Amino acid sequence: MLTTLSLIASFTLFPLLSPAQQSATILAPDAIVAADGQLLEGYKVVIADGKIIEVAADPRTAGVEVRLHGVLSPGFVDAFAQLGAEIFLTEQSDKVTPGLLAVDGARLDSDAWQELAKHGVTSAHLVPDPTNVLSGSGALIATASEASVAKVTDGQTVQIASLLSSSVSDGRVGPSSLAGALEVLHESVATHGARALGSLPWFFVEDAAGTRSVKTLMGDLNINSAKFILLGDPGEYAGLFTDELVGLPAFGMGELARRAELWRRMSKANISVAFGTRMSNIEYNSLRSSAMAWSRITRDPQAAFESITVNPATMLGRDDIGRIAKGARADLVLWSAHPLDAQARVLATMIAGETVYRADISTNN
Amino acid sequence: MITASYIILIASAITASQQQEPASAGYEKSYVIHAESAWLSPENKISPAFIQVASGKIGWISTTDQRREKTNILGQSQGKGALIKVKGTLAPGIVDAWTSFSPQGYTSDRKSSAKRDVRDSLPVQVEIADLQLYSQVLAAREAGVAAVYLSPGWSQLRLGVGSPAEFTVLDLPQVAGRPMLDFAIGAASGDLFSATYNGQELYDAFVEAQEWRDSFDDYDTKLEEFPEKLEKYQEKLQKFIDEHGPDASEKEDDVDEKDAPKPPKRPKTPSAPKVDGQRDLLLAAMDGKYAVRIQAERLSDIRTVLRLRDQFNIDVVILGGFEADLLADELRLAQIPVVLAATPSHHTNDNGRDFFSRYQSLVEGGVKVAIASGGADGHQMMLLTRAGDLISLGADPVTVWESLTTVPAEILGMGDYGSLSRGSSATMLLFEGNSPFDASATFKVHKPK
Repeated sequence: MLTTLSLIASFTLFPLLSPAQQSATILAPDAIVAADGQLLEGYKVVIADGKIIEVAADPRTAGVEVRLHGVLSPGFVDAFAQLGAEIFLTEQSDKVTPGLLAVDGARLDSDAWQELAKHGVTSAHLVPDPTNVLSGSGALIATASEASVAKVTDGQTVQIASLLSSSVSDGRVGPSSLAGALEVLHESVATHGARALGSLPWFFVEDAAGTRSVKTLMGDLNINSAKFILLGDPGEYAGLFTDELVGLPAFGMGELARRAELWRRMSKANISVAFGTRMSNIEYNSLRSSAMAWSRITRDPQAAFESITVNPATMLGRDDIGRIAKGARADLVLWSAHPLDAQARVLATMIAGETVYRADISTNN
Repeated sequence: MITASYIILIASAITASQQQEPASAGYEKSYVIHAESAWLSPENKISPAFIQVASGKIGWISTTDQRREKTNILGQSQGKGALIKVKGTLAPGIVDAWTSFSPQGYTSDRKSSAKRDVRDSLPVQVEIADLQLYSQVLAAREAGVAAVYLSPGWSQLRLGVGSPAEFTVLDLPQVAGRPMLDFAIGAASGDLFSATYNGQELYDAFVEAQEWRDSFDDYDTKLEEFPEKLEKYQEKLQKFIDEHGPDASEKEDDVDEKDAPKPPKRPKTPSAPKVDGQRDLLLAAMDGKYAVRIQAERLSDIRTVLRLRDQFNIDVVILGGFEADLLADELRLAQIPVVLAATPSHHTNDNGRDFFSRYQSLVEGGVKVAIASGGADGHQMMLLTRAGDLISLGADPVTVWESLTTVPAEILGMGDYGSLSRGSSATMLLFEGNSPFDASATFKVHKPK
């Protein structure tokens, strides 16, 4: 276990790398953060062509070795984000808008993306506003690039569906109740078949009734991959997700004390979470703060780390982000200590092998 | 790291005269905890650590086991007493000087009494009578909080009397420390229509209380002088009767009223000034019976607090203080501490004035700063990580740690909280990471037994 990784003025940041320039680069940090959140000392990460090609104590791949003073962590993944959207990601003219693409509203040169990269977030899943029963498709965004703009990794990820009665029953063209929303959902499926939902639908839900209905429908359609983002008061219905992976809004303002007890119970029920910043208080540090809070509340630092790395990637059906592993994209963040140590700060961020951010140690920012 | 064996004998900062006879919190057990180390401050860690706990307080701290073998009256050994070995580092519990914790009903009253007192409203069996408060306390304890402030409410100019609280062995809040009078002014009072004026309104209330007290002094004088005035009046009346006869004052039809002889006027019996409970609280604050807590965010409101301090010499604490850093010099000179909320408030907008820069300006200006959950329910769990953020941005670790422990303890008049020292509370943090701010490792709370 690494004991102290104090910030020293002589640390070496990432070399300025771009995929075109490199063959193989061997990054040798003080420690890497494994997928389970544990620090592993003495491991090296070999990257080439924007990907991790080897992780080993003694890599077989030849390349230029770069010594890094700090802890190398996978970049964080925001499971459902809204930062960086240029406009409201909704279409109010119809009750179902499955063709809406969140990527069309993404402003890739927004400073917000760069700020996220500075805070260790390398991937953000931009989702449409969950205001229609079928709201549209999300987009996976790499938060920064050498050219200082975000890049679209996947312009059409998952279909976002919403059973949030507060959103879909506002008297526009949509239904006026949860029952109405379910009717619309069933109609869409009856008209277009399971294609209406895609292969990996995500449902924003807020109560037990909506959740049960969706689960029944998914069972009828033989879709086992549906994921749920829990809003409202999950204390009333989180018990329906034992042993599952769910999305949860990042810790924000106005939380109730009982949330601590809810999170503890969710952890005990073996519910894994992926944090997202949509529908919650937006701060660039929200994901990390939420993971630290999850660690404190559930006494489970491993699950806390996974909630902002592996779990959101898994929800998206991807194994190339959120982890330091062979074959994964080289989305790496160099921290002064373990990223869940509140005293740690980002020293450098790399996305797809490109160094996109380097801390200015002279100004301590 | 200090490795030499020694016993730390730091006298408790609190003086006997400041303390009331404390109610029993139900802690009865005596034992010694053997931990890998003890975090006395970010720059002072001892290893290994032996901490004796007796009746909920720390007896001694040492790097060696100081237990002595006990014998009964026959001289037979009874062993050394219990030793509990734990993994990790012990640190003092944190103190949250600004919470949303209030007795049931305080939060829902639309028009509450400014005279209400938390100490009178706290149910004996909180766990049955006030589930919300009970869950708040449990969440705070899980977050490593050892003492809190029970607020009489918020978002009104006059809130009433609040009180610090510690926790009993049954996790129930129990009043402790010194009671305080709570106010919220300006934007913090939440009254959009009168927010501009209620800083002045509070100031005027203190002025009025002072004038009333002065008038009470006049009343005493008038009461003393009244018999003499009455005697003189009677003398004049007698003289009048002697000169004009007993019916002289009666009006005659043919005599013009202004020409009629006038009898002397009877002096009025001095009337006692009207008693007012709200005013009494202000007067008690002026007499030092209560410290005064004022949630004031904006510059003009903080200036009002400075005027109150200057004019009435009240012991005052600023809560919120979003723009307090802009008056750091004045606050230092006036010895006014500031309690900053670790989480953003809806009364403020962090845009361009982030928590770190505001905190740093205040401490660099010499102001004592406490970091608190700030009325955001359940946010005690964020206190340590927000404090760690400050350090990562360049704040001094020792000062930040004091802002979570000794400074809020001092503000609440709870000198036996916030440090690992003889006589201090034995509610402690037990962490396994590099520091209490490190959430990559597990973290527990040691509650005395």
